[in-house]
Order: sequence, then structure tokens, then C-alpha cells
Amino acid sequence: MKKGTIIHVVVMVVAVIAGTMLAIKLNNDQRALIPEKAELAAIPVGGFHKFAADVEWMLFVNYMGSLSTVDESNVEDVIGRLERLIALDPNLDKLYKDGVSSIAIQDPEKSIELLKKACNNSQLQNNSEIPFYTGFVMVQHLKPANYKEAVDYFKMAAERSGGLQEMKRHYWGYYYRTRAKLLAQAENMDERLALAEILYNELQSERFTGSAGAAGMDGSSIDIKDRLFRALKDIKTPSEDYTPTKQVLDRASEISQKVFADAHLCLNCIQPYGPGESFCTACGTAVQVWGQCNKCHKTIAGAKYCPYCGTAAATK
Amino acid sequence: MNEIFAIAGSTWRNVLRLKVVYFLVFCVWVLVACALNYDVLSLGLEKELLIDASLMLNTITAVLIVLSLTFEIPKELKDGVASSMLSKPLGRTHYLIGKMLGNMVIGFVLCALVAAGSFLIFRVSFNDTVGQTMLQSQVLVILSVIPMSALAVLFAVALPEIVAPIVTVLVIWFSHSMGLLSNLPVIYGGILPDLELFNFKASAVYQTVIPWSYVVLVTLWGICYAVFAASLASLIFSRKDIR
Repeated sequence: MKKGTIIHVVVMVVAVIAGTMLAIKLNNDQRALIPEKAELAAIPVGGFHKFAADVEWMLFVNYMGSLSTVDESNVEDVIGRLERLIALDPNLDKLYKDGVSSIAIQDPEKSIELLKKACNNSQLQNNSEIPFYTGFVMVQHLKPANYKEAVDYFKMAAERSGGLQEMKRHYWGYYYRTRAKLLAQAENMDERLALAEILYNELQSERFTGSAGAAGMDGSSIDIKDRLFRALKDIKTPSEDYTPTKQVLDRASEISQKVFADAHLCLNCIQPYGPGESFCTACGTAVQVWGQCNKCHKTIAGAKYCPYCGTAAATK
Repeated sequence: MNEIFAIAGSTWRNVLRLKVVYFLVFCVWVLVACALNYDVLSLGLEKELLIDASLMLNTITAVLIVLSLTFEIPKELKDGVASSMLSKPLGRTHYLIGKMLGNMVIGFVLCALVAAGSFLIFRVSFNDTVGQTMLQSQVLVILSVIPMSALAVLFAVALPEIVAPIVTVLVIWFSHSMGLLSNLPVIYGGILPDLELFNFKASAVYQTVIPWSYVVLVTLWGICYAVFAASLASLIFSRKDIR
């Protein structure tokens, strides 16, 4: 064998060994950075997955524009297009918000399946709308509604949203209401009372254990207190389609007394009343008077000394 | 060494002095800018589309530049240009390495021009800064010219003139799926190239941070693979009967 050939072979062997070692390391590094690469490799589009996804997305938008509605006749086609899109670019959040939502009514199971995958996508881990929408489809479109799983997705959405944004407060609202529905189903109890119970327990657990539960994540217990106030008011305000039983009303009053003892609320209608008032101005029920001087019984709410008799901090 | 640089220099000078090349680069910029018109059809994703289009068009530019080598080498062999060069004190390996390096320079210059133009269009259109990942993705496309040029040289000397460009395109195309063979050491990355290692096109949009150490290592891999392919090409070329 010629010397030149030997040199060539040696160079090739060294290059192959170094190349394969580097390639394996780089392949692992790349998959750590972009986990979906492993699946994308199976689609031979010459590395143009993202651009192919863009084209597919525009074709999808164009196709959806040609439909008056997604119904039985076209839902399979829409799902096929969505699956192709997700295969090419699983990180496109718009695809889930504007694309998957279109099949939520016609095929909620498939919609949930696609949304669940998106919830587990590490690239979309900061997206709060996708888990919220997953829970929403579970409670609104799925027959029968899957409250148990939806609770986890509403919680995921609320946690991802950071909890402090005013716009995302409805995530917690859905979370508590879905938990209430679950409790009401399990205990066969009034749904509105179930919500009040859940909020009351949440408030108690935060007060006594200082745990950073849902309330803690929301920033403070003020939000829960506010929600509890509205939940109790809903119970105390019967409507055409809702008449609470006496037990429900009693329990609502009990919670109201425990939580809002210092808030001066009428136990009958959960309306706040002013200092010196003996009856609720909203329902006429007798209420416990506050803001009066202990000595002369004149209204002096907020004053350090009674301006009429000079008694110090003697209000009730 | 001087001979290698002389051949490389003549290769890239021959291409880079052609005005039509810059007209084609301008056409690529126009195509990139066309993405701005898709704001309605893409439901507001025109920014992402522009980034994707620039990366896609830059990759195609790189592939076309590399393909030119599969036409040029057989043509020089057929026309006797190569044989007259090889009659001088110049090794066949030097000739191939010179051609490969010259082609790489063409690739680097033209792809860098496409990338720079795309960044300018992006900056002017969206009044937004070019992110690090966007820059890195374009750099990786430019660097992918290294193994692709070596592949083109290999097929240009190993295959007939008509087959070489087709095989080169097919190998480049399917090498993006080589990740499926990552469990086969020596074959994966050593003999069969994985050009997907240079592909971070989606990351440019989603701003996935690419460590610079990765860029350095993937360049090293590209060089290793180019050395392997060029050595193999040289071995085949040394046994070839040139008129």
C-alpha cells in the first residue's frame, strides 16, 4: 500500500472517530435544548420544519376561512390539518388558541388530547392560556364534564399566570368554581354553598398554617375574602332559578359571622351597614350596632375620644 | 499550502466577481421582505414568517453554492483545465482542498450577505433588535457550508457529472433525518453526516438560547466531517484516470 493511501486512511479513521463522538454529544445537547427534535427527525422535510409549518398554518387559516362552521362533515379534515401542523411545529401557541379551539365543540376529546400535549410542552411552559383552555373545554364542552381533571388545569393556568395580573383572576375563579362543583357532586350539596365552603377552607388554611396554597400564590387572602363575600351574597340573594334551603342559609350566616365579624355585615343579606345603624337598610333585619360611644351612645365611629362626652376609645 | 490557497482564491474570485451573484442575493432579500405581506394570511405571524423565510432562503443559498462545486469539478476535469493544473507541481489532494476551501469562502460571503440583508429588513420593518438566537441560527446556516462543501467534493469526484448534484441534494436533504441513527456510533456523524445539528431555525423564532460552546463544537464537527469526506474524495480522486 502506498504511503499516501495509508495517510489518507489514517486521517479518515481519526476524522470518523472524532466526528462520531462530537456528533453524538451535539445530538444529545441539541435534544436537551429542543426536546421536540427527536420527533421532528422522523419527518423528512430537509430541516425546513418551521417554514413548512408556516406554510401549513397559512393554508389552515385559508381553509378555515372557507368554512362556515366546523361540523361533522369537515371536522376530520380540520383535525388532520391540525395534527400535521403540530407535528411540524408543536411550539406554535397560536395554533392551540386559534386552531384547536375550532374543534372544541365538535370533537372535545380530540381537542383536549391536543391541548394536553401542549400543556406538557416545555417550550410552552409559561403559557397560561393553553391549560386554562384545556380545563375550559373539559367543563364546558365535554359530555359529561370532567371536573376532576379540569381543576388541575385551571390551577396550572393560574400558577403560570403568576396570579397577580388582574386579567388572569378569572383563572382562579374557574379553579374554585370547578372545585365547588366537584364537592357538590361528591357531598350532594348546594353548589353555591360548596363554593363558599371551599373558599372558607382555603382562607382558614392560609390563616392557620400560613401555607402558600392557591391563596398564597394569588398574592394575598384579600382576593379569597372578596370571592367568599360574593359567594355568600349569592347564597343570600335568591333568584328565579335558585332558592337556598334553611340549612344552607344558616351555614352561610355561620361562615359570614366567622370571617366577616369585623366587617359589619347584615347576616341576612350580607350587605354592609354603617355605624350607629340598628337595622339593615337593604332588608330591614336587626343588626348589631357599632361605632357608638359606650357612655352616651352617640355615633362616633373612628374617633379616639367621644366628641360629646369626652370618653376615651369607648366605642362598641 | 500556497497552491491550495491559489486554487481556493481563483475559485472564489471567479464566482464573487460575477455581478449576477449579487443580483441573486438582492432577489433573496426581496423574497425575505415579501413575508411582510403575509400579516393577514398568517394571522399576525409575519415577523416569525420573515425570520423563517430568511433562514430557509439562506439555507437554499448555501445548498446552491455547494452544488455549483458538483458542476465545476467535473467540468474542469472534462475541459482539461484540471489536468493542466495537475500537470504543474500540484497534488490532487491540494486541488480538491483548494476547490473546497474556495467554495466555503463563497458560501460564507454570500450567506453572510443574505443574513445581513435579512437582519436589516427585520430591523427596519419591526423596529426590533436582532436577537442573539436569530444571529446564532444564521451563523449555523453559514457554518453548515463546511460539511456540505466536503460532501459536494466527494460526490463530484466519485460520481458521474449528471448524478453528482442529484445525489448531493438528496444526501443533504436526508441528512437532516440522521438523528434517527444516533444510536449507531461511527456511522452516525462519522460516516453519515447529520446536518440537523446546524438547524436551529425554530429557535430563532422561539428565542431558545444556544450556548456559544455548542456553536464552537458543531463547527469542529463540521471540520472533522469535511476532513473525512475530503480524504475519501482525495483517495478516490487519486485513483481516477484524468485525461
